[in-house]
Amino acid sequence: MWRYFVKRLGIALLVVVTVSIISFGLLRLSGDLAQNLAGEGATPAQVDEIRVLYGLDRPMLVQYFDWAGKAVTGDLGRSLFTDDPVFTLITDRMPVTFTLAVSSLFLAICVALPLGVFAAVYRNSWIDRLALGMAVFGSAVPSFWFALVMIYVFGVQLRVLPISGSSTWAHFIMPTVTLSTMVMPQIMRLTRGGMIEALDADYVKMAWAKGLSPTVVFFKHALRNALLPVVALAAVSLGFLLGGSVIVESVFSLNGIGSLAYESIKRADFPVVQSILFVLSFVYVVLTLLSDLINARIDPRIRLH
Amino acid sequence: MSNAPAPLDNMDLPMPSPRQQSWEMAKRHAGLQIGALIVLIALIWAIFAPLLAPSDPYVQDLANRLAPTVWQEGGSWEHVFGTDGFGRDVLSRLIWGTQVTMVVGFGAAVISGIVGTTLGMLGGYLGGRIDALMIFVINVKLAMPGVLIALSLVSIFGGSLLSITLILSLLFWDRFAVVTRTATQQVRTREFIAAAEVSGASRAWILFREILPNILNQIIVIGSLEMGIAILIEAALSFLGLGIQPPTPSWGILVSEARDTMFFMPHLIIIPGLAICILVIGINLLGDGIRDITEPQGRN
Amino acid sequence: MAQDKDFCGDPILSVRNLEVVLKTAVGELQATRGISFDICPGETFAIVGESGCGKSISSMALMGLLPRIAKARAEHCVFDGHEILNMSRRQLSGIRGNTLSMIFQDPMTSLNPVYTIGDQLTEVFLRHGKGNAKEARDRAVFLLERVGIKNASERLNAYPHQLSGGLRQRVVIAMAMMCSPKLIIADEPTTALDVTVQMRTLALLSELQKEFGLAIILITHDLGVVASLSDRVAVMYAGQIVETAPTRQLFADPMHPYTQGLIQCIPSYAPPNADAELHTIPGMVPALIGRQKGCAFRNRCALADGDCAKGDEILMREFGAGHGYRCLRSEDALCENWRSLQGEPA
Repeated sequence: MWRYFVKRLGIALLVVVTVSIISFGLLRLSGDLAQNLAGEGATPAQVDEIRVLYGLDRPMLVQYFDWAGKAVTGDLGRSLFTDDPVFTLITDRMPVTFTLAVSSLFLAICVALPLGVFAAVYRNSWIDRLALGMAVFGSAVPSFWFALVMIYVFGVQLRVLPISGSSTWAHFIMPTVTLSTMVMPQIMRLTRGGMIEALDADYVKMAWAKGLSPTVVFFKHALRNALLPVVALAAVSLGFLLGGSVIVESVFSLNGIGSLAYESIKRADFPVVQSILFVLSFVYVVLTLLSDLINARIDPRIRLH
Repeated sequence: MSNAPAPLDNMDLPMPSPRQQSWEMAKRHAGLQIGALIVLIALIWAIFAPLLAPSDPYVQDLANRLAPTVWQEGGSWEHVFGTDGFGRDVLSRLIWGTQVTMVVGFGAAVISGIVGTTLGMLGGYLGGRIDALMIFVINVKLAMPGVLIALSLVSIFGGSLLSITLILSLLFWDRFAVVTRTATQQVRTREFIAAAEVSGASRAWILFREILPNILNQIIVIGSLEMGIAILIEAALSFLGLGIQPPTPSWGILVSEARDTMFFMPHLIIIPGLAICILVIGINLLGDGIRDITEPQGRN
Repeated sequence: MAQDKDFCGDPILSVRNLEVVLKTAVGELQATRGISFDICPGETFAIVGESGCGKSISSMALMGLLPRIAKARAEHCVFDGHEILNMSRRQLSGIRGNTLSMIFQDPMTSLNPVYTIGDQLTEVFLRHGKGNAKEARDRAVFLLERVGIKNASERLNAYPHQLSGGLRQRVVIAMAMMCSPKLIIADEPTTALDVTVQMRTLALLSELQKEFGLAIILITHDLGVVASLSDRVAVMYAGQIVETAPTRQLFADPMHPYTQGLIQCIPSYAPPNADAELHTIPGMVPALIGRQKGCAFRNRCALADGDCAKGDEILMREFGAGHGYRCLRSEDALCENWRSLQGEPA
């Protein structure tokens, strides 16, 4: 098992490095950064001055290692726009996005898991149709639109929920619901599919043949096997939610990572953008490693590899 | 024969051909029919927008701003869905917007499908180092926050139809790759592949003439899924102002432009949003339906 | 009918006219048509047939494990004094794994991969209230040792993937024995195993049966397995029992042309002058959509004529004690056919 994890860890590190190279290179695609920073009316001399000031005159490789070397120590550079350290910008904004993503994932799992299980157990019943209908709608509804409609209904018409900001927990209700629709259908479908597969498996027939009660058959024998892929999906979903909250944050005026990325992209603040891309990828890789560990807890075939 | 349908394999009764069977099932498959109808309407709107739109989607009529819809008080058949904040006809903008939606959605699905399928089939068929490299590339792709990458790229390359289509293609090839890789691995162990290899067929021939037809079914399903997601993300990018640029009528822009007036004219938001929702549902239903009728065993 | 005769006075399982109907997209499919048999305590009754003949689905019907699209009905279906087809789920689950247990075909998939062997063994014992956790453990160790697994108490903590296929099937057999059942239904218990392991597993089953006085329904497509293990045989074809007899009798005097063909297909039973060429029965099992007329085997039968297509079904005819077959041809013609099959080079 440890060999397996060392191997996984090595690959994960390699992925992180590759991602850092890509996110570093990505923003240098946008043409001459020094020219952009200097502005339209700058003289060539001024542009050169800026180039030297930001170290943009050095070879690309040197620039990358300089950035990466500092990044390892937590120094992600400074914002070109506000001159704040990128690290503090990100850590200031992280709590909002993290709260949002975790609560959305929690909500999605709380709804999708039981729904998926019951849909599989009572296949082709009304609950299966309801689950399927919700999944179809959930994966087709544009999240920004869903958010606006909720704002209109609950914020304007019924006046029960605040429509923007993040000062109380009530402010997080609508953003959480919106964001959770982005991952709920997948989790539901995977749970249902996994349950159906498990229920058709020989070991479940065996469990019935042993005279076990339906509760034991469904929850002990089928669900644990069905959960394996769901754990991995949940980890991936959390990573996706952290990076995908930009739309929801924009609609509900939440000051999270997403809106920071959005603002920075708009004003070509490349140290901030590349750091956010890198940090989110890093978190994603950590999450997938974590899901492997959890799966190893559930599945002896991995643990005793 | 531990599961019930097994006895069906042994039938020697005259059975309808697979094509006939698919057709019979299609006639009874409500989801497929609804999906096909929705996609057909969207296609007609996209192709014949200049003929179908009642007025020019760009012409502003400031004297006639925020005109009500035909079913609201004071509405007229001249502007069925009313006019927007610049006095432009909403129905016309909606119809023209179908062009952006369908081009981006279809283009992104096809391009990413070609890229992902090629990578997946190569990895799955050749195996070994190439496969390991493929898995690594997929892992890297999955680790990147897609929406933010798309936003950054659009801000660099601009919000033209072409650049958005290409950027979105970059986001979706991985699922094609994962699925075709697995499917190829399964197909390549079957006898007819060995037979082709023994008879000296080239790798390209085996990949395109022997393996591809066998996994096409799954590619179509992923394609419909990704087309739906591409449409949603294009709308989201345009909504955020980093996609298709106004005044081009994209459905995402229609929603974004209506935000200022949403509290007293909610229909301006609801109509384009519903359009997106219905189209994506239609595409997904069509994809699922095609899978169901071409692969009856795959239903559950 | 021959099998109406009481062989042992008090059968452990008595099945009369069991019918299983599957609702499929192409119409109602009659998986079995009027199956009847009695099982005496302690005997092994084999059901033989090609895949798709309805043998597995009948066993699933007896266990109450039919898929949803299938419905079973019967004149009666009495196990251990209880009518089991109309039983409530709760009542049925009190019998399953307890007095009536089952061994599935594939030991690789019939054990749950995420639980230990010990957990899965003791679970059934505890479920049926046979004792406490300690007793369950002791019983599991005892049975694992009995089925020939060394270090039984350590193996309890092993997961299925850590055992070989042959060992897993032994675990499955031990699991079926946990509550001292009166009848075990073994559905192709050795098909998924290596040939060398097959024989040992069959020998084990037969030992256990004698030792614990079990009755076994052995479902198989392999007449070789039947010959080595069973007391009586029913040959199924297209959802019907076409011939039933004590095993020795069946191999000595097979009456139904299908049985004759099947026996002829066993390599070791083919006459030495058969040039090592394997005998096969031409054609395939027919579809069972809708109501069947006449003999289902007629399309593959060398002796068939126009009469075979007529009538609702061919009735069971008797040939000696406990030996019945469904065929219109005369005894002489059938015996003649068998002799010619044996004498003539294939």
